[in-house]
Order: sequence, then structure tokens, then C-alpha cells
Amino acid sequence: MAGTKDTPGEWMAQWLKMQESLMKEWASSLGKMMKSSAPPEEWIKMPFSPGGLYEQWSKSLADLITKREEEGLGELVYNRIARSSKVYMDLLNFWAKATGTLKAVPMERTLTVEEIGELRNKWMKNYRDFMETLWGSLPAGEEESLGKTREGTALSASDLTWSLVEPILKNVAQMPDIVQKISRGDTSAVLDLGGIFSKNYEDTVGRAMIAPSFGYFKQLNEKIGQTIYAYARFNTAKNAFSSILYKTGLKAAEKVYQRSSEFVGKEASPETFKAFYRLWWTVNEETYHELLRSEEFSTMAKDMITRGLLFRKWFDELTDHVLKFTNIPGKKDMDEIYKTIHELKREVRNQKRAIKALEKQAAAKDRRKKPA
Amino acid sequence: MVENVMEVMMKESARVQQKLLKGFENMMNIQDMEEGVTPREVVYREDKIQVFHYKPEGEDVCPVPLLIVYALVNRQYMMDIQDNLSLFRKLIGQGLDLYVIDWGYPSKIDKYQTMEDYIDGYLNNVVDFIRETTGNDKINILGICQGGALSTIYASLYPEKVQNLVVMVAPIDLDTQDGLLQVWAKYFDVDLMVDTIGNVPGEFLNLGFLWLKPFQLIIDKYVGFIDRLDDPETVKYFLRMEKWIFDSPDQAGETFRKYVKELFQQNQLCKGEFKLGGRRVDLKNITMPVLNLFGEQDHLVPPYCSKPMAELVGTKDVTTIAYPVGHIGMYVSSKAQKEMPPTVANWLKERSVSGKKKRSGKVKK
Repeated sequence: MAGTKDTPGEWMAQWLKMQESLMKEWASSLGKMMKSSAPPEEWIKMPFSPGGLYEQWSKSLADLITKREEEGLGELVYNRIARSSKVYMDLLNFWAKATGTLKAVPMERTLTVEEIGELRNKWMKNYRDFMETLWGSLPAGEEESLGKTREGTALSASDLTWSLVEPILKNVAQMPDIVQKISRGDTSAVLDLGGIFSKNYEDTVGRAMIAPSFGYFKQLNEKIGQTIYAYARFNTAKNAFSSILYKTGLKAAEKVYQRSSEFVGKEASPETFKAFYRLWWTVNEETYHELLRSEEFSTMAKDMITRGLLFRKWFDELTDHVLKFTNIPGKKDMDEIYKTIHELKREVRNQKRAIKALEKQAAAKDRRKKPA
Repeated sequence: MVENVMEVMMKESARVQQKLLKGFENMMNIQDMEEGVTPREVVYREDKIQVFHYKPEGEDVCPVPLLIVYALVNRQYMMDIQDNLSLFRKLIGQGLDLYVIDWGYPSKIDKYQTMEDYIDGYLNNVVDFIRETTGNDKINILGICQGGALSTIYASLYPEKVQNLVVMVAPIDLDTQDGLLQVWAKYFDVDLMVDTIGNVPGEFLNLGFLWLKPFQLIIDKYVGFIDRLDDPETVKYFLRMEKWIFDSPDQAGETFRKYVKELFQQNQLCKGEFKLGGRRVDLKNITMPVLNLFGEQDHLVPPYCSKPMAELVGTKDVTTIAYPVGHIGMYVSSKAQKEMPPTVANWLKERSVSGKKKRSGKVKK
């Protein structure tokens, strides 16, 4: 049945049936969990915990939506809401873990520095897991183009770029250190990696890419080289840009952590969670706003957009060059046509105005000629 | 405590699921929403633009027609979004004879379309069309957002055709760091963008608008709406707003280049250095009465950008009114819906009969 399109009535009925069975499973597994001797943090990780169940439910919902034949505004907006609700539920999951972590703190004595550090690290680790899902779950798809901010962003460069620079990277002495730092969550190391990547690339393969070529395919080879070079540089800029977004997310996490003491001793309730959610998004909004106003952001955004445009420019050059050997018009040909049409349209508009003015003049003359 | 946490998770999870199910019923079969609700007639077409005519109601009809010039970056139907929230309906209800330009959606073929084409070409043709068909030498113009800047330029170049100028949330003085768009624009290499991709995609601009308040506009807006998914009428309103927000036409490359470089980056209009078709646009030529409306909490066009109109134009008959709302609130907030149409209509009627001059300068709240 996979891939088939059912009628709305059929899939709705199937879906509701599934809802029912999921609820039954949930109730029975929840009972088991409550009796289990596993620590609270483990409960949350179990497949039938509320978080796990919501995950399954939202996946089944997404599957069913794709089966629908009709697409439209309702579906588009519904998907945005569903994706944002996923972020909300993931935050709920994080909040539950964080509450569990705080619950484990012994109240009868003062904590040691190490214990406080450990507590913070645990909190931040859980938060990082949440950030993974957050940045992969933004609504509407359009945010994806801003770069999915992940810890290993520099490692997400395309296979093509990676294979080109692999030999260089192997010889870079600092690399093991940096990779280790990245794996420990040090985001500034991502920037270091980007810098080394870029420098070594430009010194070696990059130089070869933009080096003059010889022979019959000289122009084609040069354009291919320039395109790959521009693509690699775009990726580097994109990753650097993504890493500042991620870094800001961690900065916001620190602020949320500092303020989470406001919730210590408060009864866990839907209202407490909603207050935590409000705190979370407003702190993030403020923190990102600071970044968005900064010169650092504007400079890096500019760099990323510029690199992206340069890649597109070289790609168009390459496409035009290839199309030259066919009877299909390229970008330059089309631009010429667009320009000509634009000039003609303007000419027609001017002519129409001139004719109208002449008609008015003639009518006025006629009126003057006619005897009163 | 932990039992409580589990209970909260269960409750919240169930609440969200239940609401989403209701939303599923209420939303999934809606294919599209109408673009504007007030009856209208298409009275003029040229290339991709068209002009709608909304007939005035009541007996106290303003003798001079009003042309609404909306921004190029979004669509004009925001002002006619639904029956109870339509500024168009309320304006015609006040006896205004309303014409509205729909700029359409530029495609690749329009990449060389310039600001001259828009202002000296389309806008001037539309104004002439209305003058001829209604028998008025001059008409009233209401420019909104970017359309406010376009209308201001037009009124400066063609003052003999404009009886009164109304601008709403118009970006006039852009030498500010108040708004993020103004900050980002300074870093933007518009030449490279237009030379490379021609038209500027609407999605790109939308992304910029969303990033002005990312967590509010990308997450909290939708999370907050979950609770209201079971109300079909609220769902319809939300869908209309969503449609409008993401309905951003691509921008004709050459127009966008001039707009960003000369107005946003160099603030030429405010400095009196802006030229259109080789002619300097001197705002002192604006000698007709001016009504300047803006939102005090506008994050897209901060008040700083709109306020200075009174000092820049050549007339002393300037009325400035600030509303305690944001950019979108200027179109749909209950305050704006209630107060703005009668204010605009009365202001225009007073000046469309005798043209007598009224108070000037003060910011009304």
C-alpha cells in the first residue's frame, strides 16, 4: 500500500483507528513504567514515554499527510504548526529530563564545585540533544536554507568537496586536536576548522582549480575549476555562518540555565512548563536579536550570500559554455531577449503616450475651429 | 515529583495531540483563501499590473477619487483580508471612491524593469486613467509601506496631478540603525545579487522578515495557535494571514537595485539627492496637503523612518498620526480598523472640497 493515495475518508478512518491502538499501548506501557525500578531519566527515554509516543504519533501523522491527494494552503500551514508543536514537545521532553536532573540534587547539604559543574554539564548535554532536534524541526522548509545548525557543521561539507581536500586534511597537524575539540562541543573549533580548510584548500587544490588550463577544453576546464572552487568556498562560508548561529543557541542555553533556578521548588505542572517555554523562547529571541544586530552576523551573512552568488555566477558561466554547443539558449541569450522586450515595451508605452497627446492636441484644435 | 513530571508530559502531549486533530479536521481540506473580500471591478490593465475599483457607499461621497499604492514586496489584499477586517470596505463605507493597484508578480522577463517604469510608467498611466475616467484634474493618493515611498516620489515629480498625499508606514528617512532591515541593508551587495540572479526571490525577502523575530515568528506564533485550532473561524483568519505573509512576489532586479542602493543604503530621497529618469526628486515640490500615518511599534519600518516627513515636504499642511501598533497592526488591529478609515476619510473630504489648509506639525496619538 505504500505510496498509494487513499481517499480522504479511508485514510482518516485508518488514522483514527491507529490513534485508538496507540492510546491503548500508551496506557498499558505507562502502567509498566510507573512500576519499573528504572531511574526517572530512563523512563523518559523509553519508547512509550509521553515523549516517545508523541514522536511516533507525529511521524504517523506526517506519513498520512503525504498520502493525501489534495495539497493546498491548509496543509501547508498545518505542517508549519505540526513542526512547531514538535519543537514544543521536544522542549517538554528536555524540561522533564532537566527536572529529573534537578530532583536528583541532594538538598540536605551544599554541593561541591565538581557537583555543580557536573550538574551544569548534564543540563547542557541534554540541551544540546534538544538543539539537534530544534534546528532540524523548524517549520516551513524556508529556514533550511539558512543552514541547519549542528555541532559538526564543518563536517557536513559535500562529499565532493570533502574528497577533494581529504589528502590535505590528512596532512594537517592540528586536525586531530580540532576534531577532538569539536566532538567535545567546542564550537569555536568549528571556525578554526573552517579557517584551516579554507587556507589549505586555497593553497593547494583551490589554486589548481583556478589555474590556467591548456588545450581544446581549456575554457571548459577553467570554468569547471572555478565552479568547484566557488562551491567549496561557499560551503566554508555557510558552515562558518551556521556555527555562529549554533554558538548563539548555546549562549542562550547558558542564560536559560542561569534562570532555571526560578523553577526550583515549584510544583511540576502544565503551567510551570508553559512558564519555562515562555522563558526559553523569549531568552532565545533576545539572545539571537543581539547577534542579528551585530557586525559579526552582518559580515558573515554577507560573506555567505556573496559566496553563494559567486558559485551561482560560475555555475551559470559553465552552463552557458556547455549550451553554446547546442541550440538551447543560455542565460546570456535569455538576458538579451529580456532586455530587448523591456526596451520594446518601454518604446510602446512612450509611443502610446505620444499618440494620446497628439489626439488631445487635435481635439483641442477642432474645438477651436468649430464656430460657437 | 517525577510522577508529576510524567503526568504533565502526558497531559500536555494529549492536549497538543487533541488540538492538532481538531486542526486537522478544520484545515486540511482548505485549498486556498480568497485574495480580498470586498466586491470590486478590474478597470485597468497594463502588462502584469491591474487596477481594482471599489465603488463608494453612502451619500457623503468624496468628490476626488483615492488611489491606493501598495508595496511591491507584498500584496495589497492584506487591507481586505476578511469581512470584519477590511480597510478597503471601511474606506468605501466612508464614501471614498477607491482605486487600488495590484502590481502582480514579476517574472524573469521583468528583470530589467526599473523604478522609472513603475513610477513614470505604470503609476503615472494609472493616475492619468483615473483622472480621465473621473474627470478630475487631480486625485488623492494613499501610499502604503514601500508604496508610500513610491507615492512620495511620484507626488514630488507630478504635483500637478495630486490633490492630497496620504502615506502609511512609509520608509522615507532610512539613515537609522533602529530596524534590523536597515542594519542588514548596509552590508548587502545588491549589485552582485541582481547581476547574478536577476529578480530577487520573494522567499529571500521573506526569510529576512522572519529573521527579524525568529523565535516568535517561526515557533511561538504556531505553538500559540495550537490552542485555537478547534475554532473554524479563527483558523480561517489564521490561514488568510499566513497566505498573505508568505505571498511575496519576486522583485524586478533593476528596481530592487535602485531601491536598496539609493534609498536604503544612501538615503538619497531624504537627502534630496535621489534622481528618477534623470530628474532630481525634490520633496519640497510636495506642496499638496500630507497625512502621515505610522505605527509606534513598527519593527519593519520603525517610526524614525516615517516621522520626518513633515520637515521634508514643501507644505505646511501636514498631519502626523502615530498609532500604538506594529506594522501589521496598522492593517488589522482593532484600533486601526476603528479609527483609521474615518480619520483618513474626513481628512481627505475636508481637503477635497475646498482645499483649505488645516493644522500642521503635531503628532497626534
